Amino acid sequence: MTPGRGQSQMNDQVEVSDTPTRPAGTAQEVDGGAPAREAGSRDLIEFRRVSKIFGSGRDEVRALEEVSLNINEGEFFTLLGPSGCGKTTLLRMLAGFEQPSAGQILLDGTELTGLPPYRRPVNTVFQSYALFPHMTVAQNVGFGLEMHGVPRERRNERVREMLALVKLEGYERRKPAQLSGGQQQRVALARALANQPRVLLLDEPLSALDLKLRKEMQIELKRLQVETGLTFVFVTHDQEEALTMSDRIAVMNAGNVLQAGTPRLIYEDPDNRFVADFIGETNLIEATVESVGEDGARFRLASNVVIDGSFREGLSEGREVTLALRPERAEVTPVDAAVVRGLVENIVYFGTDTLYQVAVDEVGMLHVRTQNVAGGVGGIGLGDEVGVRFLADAVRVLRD
Amino acid sequence: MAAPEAATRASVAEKRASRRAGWRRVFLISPALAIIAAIMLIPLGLMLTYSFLESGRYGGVIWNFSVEAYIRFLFERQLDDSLAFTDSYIRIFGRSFGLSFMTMFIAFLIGFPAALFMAMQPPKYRAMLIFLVTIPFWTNLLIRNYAWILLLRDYGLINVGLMNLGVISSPLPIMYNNFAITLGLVYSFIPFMVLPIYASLEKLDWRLVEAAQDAGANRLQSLKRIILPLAKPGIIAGCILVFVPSLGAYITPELLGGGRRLMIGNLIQMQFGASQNWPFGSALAFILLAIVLACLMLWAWRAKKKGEAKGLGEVAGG
Repeated sequence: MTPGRGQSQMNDQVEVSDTPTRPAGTAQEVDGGAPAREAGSRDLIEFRRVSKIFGSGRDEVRALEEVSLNINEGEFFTLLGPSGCGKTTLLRMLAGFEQPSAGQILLDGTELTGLPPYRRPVNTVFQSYALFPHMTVAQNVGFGLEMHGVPRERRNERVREMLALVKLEGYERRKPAQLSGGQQQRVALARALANQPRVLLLDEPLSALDLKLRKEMQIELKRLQVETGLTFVFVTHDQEEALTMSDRIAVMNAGNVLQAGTPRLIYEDPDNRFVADFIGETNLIEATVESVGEDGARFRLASNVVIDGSFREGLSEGREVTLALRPERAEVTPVDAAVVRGLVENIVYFGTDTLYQVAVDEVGMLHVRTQNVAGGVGGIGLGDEVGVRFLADAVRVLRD
Repeated sequence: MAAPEAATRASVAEKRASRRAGWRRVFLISPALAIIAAIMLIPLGLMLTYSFLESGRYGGVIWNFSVEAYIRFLFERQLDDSLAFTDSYIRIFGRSFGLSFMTMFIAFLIGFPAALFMAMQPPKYRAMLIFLVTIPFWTNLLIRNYAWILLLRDYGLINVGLMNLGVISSPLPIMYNNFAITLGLVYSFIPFMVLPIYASLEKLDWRLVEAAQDAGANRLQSLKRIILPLAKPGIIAGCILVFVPSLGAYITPELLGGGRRLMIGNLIQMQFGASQNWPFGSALAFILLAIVLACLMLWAWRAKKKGEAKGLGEVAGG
């Protein structure tokens, strides 16, 4: 439990330049291990072509389709996706509550498949906390140790340590029903950490908390992860939560992992429509490839305007593609200087920034966010004709 | 100084309001109280009165106060009118408690796994299973006990079957003994064990069992530490619902015990039948009631004390 052991850092630069070398058309089987890692960090968990089918015959539900994924030792790994995407199933398989229909799950190189939950060095923080209502806080936290035959004195000591870690000293004799939601959450955390698991699984643990408490717990969780140096596998449908807390994220939909990588990679260089759309705000623009160059490509929009964009393996002239553009990577400019022009249809003031919705002929509505800095763009009104300029390296090509 | 005064006034008003609410409550539950009085207190009062009267020669009572019925429970009146201690009635009570306890225990051993099995089935099958458990109630208890006679007697289905298979050469004595009585009682009352336990298991949050296994508890440990404690209210209810009626059972010991092994129920029945001693029958019923009540209160008190010692004050309440 050395603090910061095997903490994987965000090697964004390496990963971004790493991406285009990946073969095209393998969105199904994302190799989470591809991004470069800090020296010393290694695969702790490996999902090998794991599938899960619930029911049979006409009721058959394919929850996971040949998912392959690697999770490094000591990293905060997030499974992100809408409800029903298979993220919780993947987590439950890691915990041992579900068995894969096909494929293997390895922990530390050892096959986990077939091991019951109580034989896995893995502990879970449940969405509903699942605290034992008939036991005190101390009994809850010490339960796992008791099951593992840890003697009472050693157990009590460990319970005290754990409660100190989650800042709940003095609550030993309370019952779960006497605690607030946030406190119950902390007890659930302490209970899961008390066993000193190799991996801590967190199944949407913050979804039941109100916004303020959720923000606090996000910071708290991140602190705990850094302090304990444990590998956290976190499940959430909240993209902001995923971006702020994770070392790496796997974006899932309909039983597939669509992309895995650092928050920066996922946000700035989404692989496909779903990832681009699910994480943050995105302008999706249809275009055809005009020309392919050494380190970039040019794209012709429906309005016959040609713009620069990123390069991706497999691009060829004349091919139809979808471009992704983050609203904050574009600017509203005076008309005469810009290639893309449109009419301002809506202005939303957010305090730190302002959102302009600009209707561009034949391209559609473009969202542009501009920071509200002193001396920034001003004096733009509804119905004005403006130009939209894309910042360098802002236009990304998607795979689909 | 206005604030404390206002507070006092508020608390007085509150008290008055709560007192009014109290009377309102009494008024609203009065129909229920009336029914309880009519169906419970009046017959019980009648019995209590009878138990302190003298018995008539041909049944009925003579309206003279007497504690003779209670004396009779422990002592035999000799020819010279002196009293000698006798344990024959106490032995019948002892046998009744023993058989009832055994019945309760076996019913739990069979009923708990059955209830657990039912609670673990998909919801669409559960209603069907409850229905199956209640089916025996649809037939008269007497008929069902006769059915057991057909099964258990010397040349009944079981003995004949075993003899034909060559397992045994002469009939097993499985009739007219404690075994037969216990079997009959378990059979008669087991739904009362299954249903309350099922009700408490059905409400159980199975994620807690997952959490226990996640923490390292194997199946047996999860059962012992999570499922049993959380099903405790249902288990207690089931045990009481089997134990108490078993104590007073009359048909089963009469038919399957052959009337040779008396239980309290048979003894009481005899006083109102052949023996024509109504006060003694009433007294026996009252002694039984007092013992059962004392047992339950002792149990509740001990559970509460144990719970408090563990810092689990509310366990006993449930």
